[in-house]
Parts: sequence; C-alpha cells; structure tokens
Amino acid sequence: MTFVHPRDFIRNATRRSPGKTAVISAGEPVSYAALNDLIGALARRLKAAGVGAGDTVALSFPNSLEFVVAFYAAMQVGAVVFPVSPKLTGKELAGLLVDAQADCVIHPKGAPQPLAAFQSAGVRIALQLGFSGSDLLLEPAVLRVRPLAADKPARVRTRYQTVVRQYSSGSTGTPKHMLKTSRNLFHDAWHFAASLGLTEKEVFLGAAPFYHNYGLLSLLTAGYLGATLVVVKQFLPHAVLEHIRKDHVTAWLATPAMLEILADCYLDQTPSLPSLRCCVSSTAPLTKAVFERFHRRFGLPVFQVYGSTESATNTVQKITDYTDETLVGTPMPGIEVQIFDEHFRRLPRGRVGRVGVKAPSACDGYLHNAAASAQTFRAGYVFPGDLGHLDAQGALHVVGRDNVINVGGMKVDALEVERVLNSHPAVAESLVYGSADGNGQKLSAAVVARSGGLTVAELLDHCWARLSDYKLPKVIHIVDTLPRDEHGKIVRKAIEEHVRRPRGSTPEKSLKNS
Amino acid sequence: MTNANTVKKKVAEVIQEVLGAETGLAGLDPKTPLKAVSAIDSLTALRIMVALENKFKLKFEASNLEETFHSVETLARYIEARIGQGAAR
Repeated sequence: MTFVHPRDFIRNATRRSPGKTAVISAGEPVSYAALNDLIGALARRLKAAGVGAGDTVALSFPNSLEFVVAFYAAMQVGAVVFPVSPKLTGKELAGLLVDAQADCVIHPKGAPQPLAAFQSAGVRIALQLGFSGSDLLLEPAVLRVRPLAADKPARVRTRYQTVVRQYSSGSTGTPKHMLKTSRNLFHDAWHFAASLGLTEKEVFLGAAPFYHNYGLLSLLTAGYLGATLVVVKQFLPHAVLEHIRKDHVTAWLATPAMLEILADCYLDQTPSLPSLRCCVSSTAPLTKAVFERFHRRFGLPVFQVYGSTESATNTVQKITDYTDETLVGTPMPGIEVQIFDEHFRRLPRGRVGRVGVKAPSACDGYLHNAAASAQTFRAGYVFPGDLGHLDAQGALHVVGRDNVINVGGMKVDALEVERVLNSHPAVAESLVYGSADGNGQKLSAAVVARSGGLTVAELLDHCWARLSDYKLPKVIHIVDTLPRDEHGKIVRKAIEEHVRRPRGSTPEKSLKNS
Repeated sequence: MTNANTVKKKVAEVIQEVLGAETGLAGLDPKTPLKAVSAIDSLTALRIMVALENKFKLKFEASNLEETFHSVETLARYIEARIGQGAAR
C-alpha cells in the first residue's frame, strides 16, 4: 500500500481513465477528466479570491456534484475542508464557523446568504457555487464579506497536513472539534476498500450525507479507487431503488434507518438488485429485526461496520445469518482493537470493558478541549465511549454506550438539547433521553415548567429556531418534577417510568398538546 | 363521513402510530401544522411516508416532502390525488 494524498485522488484516477464516469449527479454522468477540470477551475477561482494554504473552507451543501468539486478544490489549494450540515440553523452555523475559525464559506448558488451570521463569525469570503447548462460551467459568485486580514491567528500544526475539520457530538454538551490529516483520510479509504474487497469497478451509491464522516467515506473511497459515485441528494426509497437498478450500483454505504425504510416501503413487486454486492450498514447498531426484514425482501447480505468520527471505520462483519446482536465484527487491516478497564489496563479476551481502537485513520485529539481529549485519546488509543469485549476469535462485541442518543444514525447530545430547552424563560429544568422507537431510539424530553401555561407547541417553536431538525424532541412531557435519587441527582434511567405514570398517581401532570 | 374525512382520519391514525400514542393527534384540527405537535425530521417523515404507503397501498413520489408533510390535511390531499391518479398505485 502506497500513501496517496486525498487531494490527488481525482487527478490520479483521471490519468488512469480520463473518460470513465466519476460522478453521476441528477442523472448526468461526469467523466474523471471533466471532474478534474471542474476541480481545477474552482481551485483557481479560490486562489484568486484569496483562499490558500491553511485557510478553513466551510462547505454547506446537500449531497451534490458541487460538494464533490468544492471538497477536492479546497484541498488542492491547501485549505482545510470543513463540511457542515446544510440543515444547520443560522445560529448553529455561526457557532461552528467561529469555533473552526472559518475563513471561507462555499454554499449553493441561489441559497440564502446569511451574511450577517458569516460576518459575525469572522468569515472573510463567501462563495456561491452552482453549475448551469450541459457544459457544467462554474458560476461562483465571489462575495468578499470583509478584507483579507494580515493578522490571521497562527494555525495549529500537526505532523501530517490537516485536510478536514469535523465535529463529533459528545456527552459534555459541547461539540468536539477534530482535525483529520491526509494520512487519516487515506487510511480510512484504503482499509475500508481493502477489508471489503472493493475495486475501481465499483459504482458507489452516495446517499448518506457527505458532511458526515460516513457519507464522506463513500466519496473518498470512490475517488481513491477511481470508481463511480452516484450522488443522491435526498434519500427517498423508491428513487434509491431506481438508482441501484438503473446505475448498476455495486456498493452502498447505508445506515440501519435507510435499510429499514427500504425493507418496509410499499412495493407492488420486489425489484431484483443483482448488481448490489456490497451493502454496508454503519453509524448505529443494525438490529436483527431490521436485518431480517431487509434480507427477506432483497436476499442480500449486509456488511456491518463499526467505528466513530474520531477513529473512522474500524471493524467489519458480513451478516448473512444474524446470530448475535452485540457482535460488530473483526478489526480491519492495520487496526488494533483492545479492551481496557477503568484504569486503562488491558483486559483479557472475554472480559467486558472500555473499547479502545488504535488506527492510522484516527485523529490525535480534540481542539480546545483538553479534558475531553484526555478521556477519549490515551496511549495511542481512541476510546469512543463504548463498552464491549473481544471473543475468542478476536471479534468485537459492543454491549453498551454512553449517554449520546443515536437517532437514526445521527448522534444527538442530550445536554445540548437540554441547554436549548432550559433557555426558554418558562422552563425550570429538563431532561432529554432516548426512548424505544421500533428498532431505534426516539428523542424525548421531560420538562419542568416554572409556572403553569407552558405548552408543547411553545417549546417546539423555541427548539425549531435553535436546533437542527434531527435534534428536536419528538415527544415532550411537561412534568412537575424530574426523578432524583436520595442525593438529589437526576436518575436518567428512571425517566421513562416517571413520565408514564398515570396522572394523579404522581406529582407530574401532562400538559402536552395543550 | 365523507371519503376525504376518512382519509384524514386514517392519516392521523397512521401518524400517531409512528410518533407514539402520547403525541395525541386525534381530535386536533387536520390543518394544525405537524411541527406544532411533534418534531418531524426527515427520518420521521420517511417513517410516516412508509406507513402511509402501506396503509393506502401506494408509492409516495413526493418531490417536496416539507410541503406534503405540513399537516394531516396536506398529506390527505396528496394521498387522495394519488389514489385519484390510479396509475400511481
């Protein structure tokens, strides 16, 4: 295996096969040569606009050709790419731009330009990017929010060139900020491809969001291999089935929620998907029930992949006959998984403890958060917050997780949502938790009002203005108290029973939907 | 009860089943925005869509999910139109 800088993935593939389809976007194929030209053209425009080495370039796009082009163009000028969700509220986006010290924002042509938010976040340049006509002409609109500053703060230097900034939710209530190097990204693409036997012949379905670590992996692996990437802007089951069939998709990095939707959607006739040989599930545990419904309908095996934003993808198992809900697979090539006790001493096989991963795809720590770094990064291992054990064959079993709530593959920090609820003037305190929802978790909240009259509708309005949609509680219970132990500490695990009790039998009352 | 009202009632029942009984959609005005009752994110919208597809035996080909999922009434209107098209089934 020879190291290749990710910025060179498309250039190298173009040299090998210029006429090969690199991307299929909105039904239109784009060859590697054309993609390489688009990337080069945007890189020149970025340079001309003053974006250069070490600058942070935020990309706020849904899955699109624009994202692919901007991602590689920013890397080619030596900038650090910072993919962000296009669903973020203005306040959420501004907060991330400030924390990341973003110099430039690129977002879709025609999208609203929240210039005030960009300005207050210290962004120097905002660009709108789009394509028009069959020639895919670049139309970046350069908008200088404020002049280039000569006194830019010193950049954080790492051993390898930093190429991507990412955020991970955590249990501390603050998103954790990570820098990924060229080495991290290369190894993630390489060991993912190697462990699944993927080649340049693959046609990847890019349906998971590219701004997410897992969605970005499909983009990177396709580029590294010189394969084809089918860009899916919005996951809709019938459209996805049509893509798989029509574009002869061979590899799909899916989430359990996506597999569940495909397993359950209405079909008058189950389509045959003979090309799809590598259907991957990650970001959340794949339950036996979902696997069996998906397998029964399509007859396909599923490769379950375990990992984290910090350590990327780490273990894999091919499921054809689901036997064990805790099993997440064996380590990929070049990755070591060990189990540790609470004092970070290694435990023998079979003993349950903290899962630690040593991987060249793992970042070195969190920026500006020494306390969280000390908890998660230790002695060369990443501790993603899972409890598990290794079996006699060296396969990893995960038996428990920390307080982060996994909503359909998106990690939601309960404390972040609680902070927003608590900022409502009529809220005394709140507790956000995950309640069972079919095969996954549903974000729920119990709220103690300062006085009567608080409604669920008011709380939802308050949250809509401050949180992305996936972070919004699906159910809100207004209660008189939260469950506490004899020391006054909130007992999270008792909350579901607490809110379920009939009115009159406990101090809480339901004001929901009032 | 008219056919339109039957569809609305069924839509409300399906949504309530997906969101959980505690959401209390029943009895609400069908024009009430769903986001005032529960937070319908894209995944929840997909789950509701799948449940409605199976209930009414039709495929959603929604190009604008946000508009379609505004309220029980907008969903019912979409479903009635799809049923009316016949071929869409």
